Amino acid sequence: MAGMKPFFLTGANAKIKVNNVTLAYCTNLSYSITVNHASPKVLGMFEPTSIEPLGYTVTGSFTVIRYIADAKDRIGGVAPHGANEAGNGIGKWGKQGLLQGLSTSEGKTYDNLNPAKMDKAIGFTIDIYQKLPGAVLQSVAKIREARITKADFNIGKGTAATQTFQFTALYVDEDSFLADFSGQGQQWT
Amino acid sequence: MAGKTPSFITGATAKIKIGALTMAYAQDVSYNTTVTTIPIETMGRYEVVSNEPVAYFVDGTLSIIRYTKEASAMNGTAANGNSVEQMANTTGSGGVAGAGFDPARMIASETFDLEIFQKLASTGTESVGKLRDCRFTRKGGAINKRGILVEQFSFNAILMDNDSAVQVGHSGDTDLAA
Repeated sequence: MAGMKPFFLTGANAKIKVNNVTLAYCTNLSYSITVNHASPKVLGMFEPTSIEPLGYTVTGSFTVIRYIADAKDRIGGVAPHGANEAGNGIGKWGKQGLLQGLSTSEGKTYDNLNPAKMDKAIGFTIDIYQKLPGAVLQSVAKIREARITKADFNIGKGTAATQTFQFTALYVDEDSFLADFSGQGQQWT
Repeated sequence: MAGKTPSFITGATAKIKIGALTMAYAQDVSYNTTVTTIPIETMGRYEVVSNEPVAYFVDGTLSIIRYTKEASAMNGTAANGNSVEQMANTTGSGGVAGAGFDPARMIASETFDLEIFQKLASTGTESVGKLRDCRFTRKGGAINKRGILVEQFSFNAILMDNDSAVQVGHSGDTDLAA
């Protein structure tokens, strides 16, 4: 039975896009979908009468190996494969320069960390893909309307600097189902 | 069937270049390309479902018989000796491998390529393998009574081409590209 190709989704064949840009120096990502439930208990019964879903929340985190702005120009020599000219800080995760102000639909992830712009910050999308042979990407999950809730920078002797971002989001679509809006018809109808 | 010439790669027909400079006093070189796999194991079966590749590493070792500039009159020796400080990256911006062992210069030290050739019966060489973007990680020397000084180097690299005609490539993406 020779002829097997790498089949499963692993860290080595995964691709992460945040705000529609590839995070090529991402080292890990995790997300959790939590559905809170209540279990009403009444006198005269041992078991709960039902399990009632109350809420749906999405949280997660991812870590990026950081390198500085303009590192390629300022350090010189040959840069590591795939490094971005302008560095990979959160401020670079989207349209740059003049194009920055033109986009209304693209979430500005860094506004989530700027008190002066927090009121204008827009939710963004996190996409998880499996890379397939022939440069094909297969979507595994799409985390929608995410916002950064915490950014931890970490550096130590003997390690590369990393930044871990925690996020909360509204929905997660997976390759097998789409999560949908639940409040249809409740407001102003 | 008389008339055969030496065909195989042996220590006697091998040639090593670091940063395009010949290491004429190299004694041995070894390299390893390691592909780490993880077993996908599931309940209800004894064998693994698949061994999935998750990482690729290249490393190796090299030994060089050392001499100083005192030996410069010898056939095939370099004028300034053959310390790691003389291993210049002539295919790059001129950095020397020795900078990787100097804390004061480590921040600007550059990678180098290490290539192994087979010397042909006719003139010329044929590439056997090229280890790209090497860095020395260890240097050691030993000398004793009745011995010569041999320095051992350990290195790691990013990629290894099996011969110069077949280049392996990077698997990663461009950071922050749409």
